[in-house]
Amino acid sequence: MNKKSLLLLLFIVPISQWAQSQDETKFPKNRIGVQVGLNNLLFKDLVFSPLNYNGQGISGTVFYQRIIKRRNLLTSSVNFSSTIIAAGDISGTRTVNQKFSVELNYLYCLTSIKNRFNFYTGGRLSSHIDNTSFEDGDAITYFNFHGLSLAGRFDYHLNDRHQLISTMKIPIWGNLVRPVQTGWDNEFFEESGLATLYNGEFVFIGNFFRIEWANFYQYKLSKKIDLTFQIDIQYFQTSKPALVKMMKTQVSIGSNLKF
Amino acid sequence: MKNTILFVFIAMICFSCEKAVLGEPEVDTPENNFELLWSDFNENYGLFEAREWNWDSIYMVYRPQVTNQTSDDELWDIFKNMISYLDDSHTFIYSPDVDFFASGSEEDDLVEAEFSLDLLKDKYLENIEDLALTDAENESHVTAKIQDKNIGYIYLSEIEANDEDFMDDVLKKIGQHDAIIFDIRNNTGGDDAIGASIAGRFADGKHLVYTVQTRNGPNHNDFTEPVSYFTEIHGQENYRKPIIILTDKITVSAAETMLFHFKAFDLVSQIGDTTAGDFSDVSMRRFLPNGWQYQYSIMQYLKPSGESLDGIGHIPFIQVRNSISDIEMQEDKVIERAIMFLFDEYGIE
Repeated sequence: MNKKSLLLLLFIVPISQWAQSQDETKFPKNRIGVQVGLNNLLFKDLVFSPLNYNGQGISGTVFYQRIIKRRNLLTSSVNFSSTIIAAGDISGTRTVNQKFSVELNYLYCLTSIKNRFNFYTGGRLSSHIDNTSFEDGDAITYFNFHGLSLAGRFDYHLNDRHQLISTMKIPIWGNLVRPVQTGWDNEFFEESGLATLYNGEFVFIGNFFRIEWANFYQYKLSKKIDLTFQIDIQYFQTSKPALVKMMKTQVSIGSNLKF
Repeated sequence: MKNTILFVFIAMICFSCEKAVLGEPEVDTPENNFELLWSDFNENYGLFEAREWNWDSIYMVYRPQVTNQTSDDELWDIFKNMISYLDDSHTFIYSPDVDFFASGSEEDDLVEAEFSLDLLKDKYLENIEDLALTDAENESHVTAKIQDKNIGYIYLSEIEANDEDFMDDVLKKIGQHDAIIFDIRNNTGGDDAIGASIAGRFADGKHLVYTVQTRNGPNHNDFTEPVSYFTEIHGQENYRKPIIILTDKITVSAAETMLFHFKAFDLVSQIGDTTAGDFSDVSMRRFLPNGWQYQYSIMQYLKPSGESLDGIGHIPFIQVRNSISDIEMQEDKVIERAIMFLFDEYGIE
């Protein structure tokens, strides 16, 4: 970024923040919502199996969002999905993948253009539990992560009723919990299954890669209620201790209550 | 609205891009299935060193026999021969469409027939009580007393229990006797922690009994640091009188690790046949592109001296084995030898 751009940014951001703060009282500050959806999961984990898996499942999210000072956002959510996957048409490979996550996001409003375009950036503190189990534990693998992410968000108000929101989150540092190549079942079953939730290695991005991209369409049904349609694409990869790749695509519908 | 359509379009692309995301799937050919199986064992099986197996020689022998024209039945036989070489009952291969084969299990039917709990109940035991230790229906656990002797008797067909303190209740029933015969013939193993808890009721102190290392690298001798396991006193009841452990070739896995604990105590003697010699925990289930599945040993258990009993087993103090004709003649020579030993050695009758 050159000096001119930096000066321009330093000038624009405070002005736009001030402009927004004049208008804040028009908006409900809190939003609570529920979403349910269907997902598709592509899965390969060489600790677990050399085969490619895919399958469909269900998902749910409960979230809360609060507009705080100067249009900045504080959001939190709890997410769950359960997906039945199998290795193509190979019989006897039916496996269940379950994901559970909680997250807290703080998003700073960088700028707002005519109240139609809002740009945010910030961070996320999150905990992701991702467990894949074959026949109630005859084979298990997991990809748990607890850490910090960079987050960005873009809002586009088409008009009073229609809004598009796109968010992207990229974890950068945290506790990555993966099984060892072999023998971890001893740890899991005979010592403490709970240890597999947190007993990992603190790593920076590069040792793993996750990206979560969510796109909402929001329809204002009334002053109190919005309807939402959402498409999520999430991709996870690491080579610790052997290659794992997962891509989850999810379509959800839901509703928000504003107050 | 255009943007929404764009998002849906992107999502639909992603739904259909498995190969782009995950890479090409493993091909289902006999040659690739062979390579995957052989390599997985080569990289993760835990007992090549302890048992002095040459896995490369298996490749040299069997790889030329596999072509992409090899039939399923032929490939199954080749895989059976490969894992049969390991003589390790924790290693098996399973095909939903063909069969199940466990390595080192060729003699199991014979050994099963050389033991009869019904014969024991009919001829040798009294005050018999069945123990319900788990929800499994086909397991047999019994406490009793040897007929006309001051000797208690326990039979466990596996080392599993919903309540790991069940042995306190057992000893309240039979702990008054001058000796106990602990029968773990035909015992198929279970949970090492339960075995340690059982043995803790007979412990005379804390002893290092074995160490465990898990294979963790490409070389056959790559292992994690050893984890030490100790025997120590557990529970409310503690029995410090002579104990005879009865074993056979099926006595395996957690039953054998339990025996590590018992053999650390002074008043314990093993009578019967050598145990299976398969100590390691097994891997998770493994998968091949043709739908076959398998598991294998991933650890090595070593005595405090560094010696491995894998492939050897616990050798009894007195070696005695029933034959099928013994059982047909209503005789259990193993328990008879144990009763005689208790009289000869301790004067217990």
